[in-house]
Amino acid sequence: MLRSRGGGSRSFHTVDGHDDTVLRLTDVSVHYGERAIRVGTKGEVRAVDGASLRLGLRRSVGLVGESGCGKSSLGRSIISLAPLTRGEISVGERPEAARSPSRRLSRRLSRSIQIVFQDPYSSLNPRQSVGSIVAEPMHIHGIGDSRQRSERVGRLLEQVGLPTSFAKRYPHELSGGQRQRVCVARALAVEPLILICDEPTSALDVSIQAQVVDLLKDLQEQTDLTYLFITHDLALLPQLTSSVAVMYVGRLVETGAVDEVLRQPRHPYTVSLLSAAPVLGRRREQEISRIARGDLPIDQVDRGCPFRSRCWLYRELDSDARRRCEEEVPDLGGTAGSRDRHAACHHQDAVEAAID
Amino acid sequence: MTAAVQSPAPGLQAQRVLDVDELNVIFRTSSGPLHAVRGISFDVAAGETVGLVGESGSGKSATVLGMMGLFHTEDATIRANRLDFESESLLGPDRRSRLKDLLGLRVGIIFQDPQSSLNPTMRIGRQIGEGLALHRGLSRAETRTRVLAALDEVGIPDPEWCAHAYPHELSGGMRQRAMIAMATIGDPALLIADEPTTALDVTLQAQVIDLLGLMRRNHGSGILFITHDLALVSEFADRILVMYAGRIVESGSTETVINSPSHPYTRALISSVPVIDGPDVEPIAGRPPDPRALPSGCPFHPRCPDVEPRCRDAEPPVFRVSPQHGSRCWLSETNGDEPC
Repeated sequence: MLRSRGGGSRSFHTVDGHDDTVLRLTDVSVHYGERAIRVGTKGEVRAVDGASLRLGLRRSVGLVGESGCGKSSLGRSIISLAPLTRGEISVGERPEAARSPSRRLSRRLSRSIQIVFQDPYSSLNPRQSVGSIVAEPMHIHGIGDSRQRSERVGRLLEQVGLPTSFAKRYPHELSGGQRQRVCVARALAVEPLILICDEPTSALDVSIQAQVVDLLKDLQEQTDLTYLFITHDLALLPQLTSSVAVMYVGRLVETGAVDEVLRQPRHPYTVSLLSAAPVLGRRREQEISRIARGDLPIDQVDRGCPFRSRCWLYRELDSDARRRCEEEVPDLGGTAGSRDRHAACHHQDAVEAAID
Repeated sequence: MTAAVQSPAPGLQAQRVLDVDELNVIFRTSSGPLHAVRGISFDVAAGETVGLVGESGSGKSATVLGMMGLFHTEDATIRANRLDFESESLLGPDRRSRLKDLLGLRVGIIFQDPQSSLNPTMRIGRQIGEGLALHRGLSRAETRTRVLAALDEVGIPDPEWCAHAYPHELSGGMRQRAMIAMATIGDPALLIADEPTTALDVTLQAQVIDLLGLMRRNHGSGILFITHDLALVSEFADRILVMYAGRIVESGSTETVINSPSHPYTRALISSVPVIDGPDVEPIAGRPPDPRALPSGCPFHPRCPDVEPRCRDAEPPVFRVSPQHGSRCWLSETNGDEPC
């Protein structure tokens, strides 16, 4: 009953498996103008600067970086929640752009990309019942009649591990984990191909976080869902994604298969993130020196490597090697999202040597 | 009665800065009394870091706020056999006025959300120096020197600028540093950190943890670190107390609790922590109980994988698994451990 997509969107499988792209971001930039930030600031903020990313069918990608690195802006630009200043976003194998600086995502395509936000307390309308929250996307996209919709709400709630009786409840009656399940059910209501998960677990306790991760994992196994999983917690990635893209001040700096990037990072920033992530039973002392110091810089640098001001490797290099970091902007050299390894660092060998 | 739950860390003969015996916190609510903290006992020695770990609603924040008199008296009742700070009791009728003299000076508290615990209309420098000026009667110039030194100590690059700034002008990391400066300016014997890094990303979190370690070394303070993140606290705490439904269910050295946990709840918490290259996470079934309607017997029994019939009938006492390791579970009795 819900297959109103005209046979289009599920036909992304190709025989040889070469082009199973469900989402392609080409040279995407998100710049916030003077007025969008606050009165008194000068110039624009370049939240995302020329990011290219590709999601293959059922090949979920993790997007990681510090708060303020632009990862949420990148995710939001896909579904028109953030301005797209430059670049193109295409869905499926369609050659034309689904979204460009001059075009918003069409309603038909917006159906295939849904989002789960970080904070389940603020992303649910407190005056709407759970049933009406979950049914709303179907209403917007004109799917089914009201009886069919309410039947489907029940099935969706069961799918995310909630009793169907919860349809009558209101968000304040639910715990944080249950609310996040409602957010997932709402996102699934229109059978999306791609689910953007914007830090869906960071507002939750560790034990509840595990429940939500488990749910997302099960859904991935049951359906053809592909995730763009945005997080600052690297340890969550191997559970849910096959590849990873690391972001720093609006640029993608490292990409590749999750297990390889986490085991053998090639960018010093990835090393910093890994050193900072808490590890059960490890004592703190030995890792401190590689954690990035200070704050994320607000402005993009136009010359040289943007990470060098906080880079542990830069501090160890001699002046000749440093000159390259100061003068040349390192290039990622590929599109992020696949299992191919790329890193935007002039001294990748030195990173690998330092870790061994 | 629960003496074994409080145990100085091995090798630490330092003075106890905080000594709590049978602390209860009971809230008055419209639907009757809510027993949030149910007779917990622990201590913190000078220079020692104790991690208090539990899920939302386990009573860990109520413990801190209750001890330190930060609830309105009409909202909450605090009862304890003993509540000593530096060997002086914090109980009794004049408890509020004594706490007022201690807080912000001998006891520093760092809260979860620096955004909402700093006064948005007050310059950072004045907020940090307020306690000193008020309680120690320092002059403006003396206070200013101390404030700048404190900001410098927490690694703020331009203390002069920062002291003059308002909270909204600071980044999240800087604000948390300013909070730590405020908590440590009085050279505290005890630092209480209530989920100080939950709102931060891993890099800032690591910076804050390192800073707390520095403060412990510089001031010799004991630290009570409250968190839901077992992995985080396992990296730097000397001892861990695991809290569930208002009780401490397991306590011991960090090494013991992480490597040989005795209580099924601690084991479940450990397997819900994601580990790179590790096994998949195993969530704990169900959710923490409603403190108004606690299950019979052991409050963890409805979620416990090792539940036995007696767990439903009677709540287990604390068993001594080893000299410094206590567990509130009937399994320990089966293993031949003695109750404390």
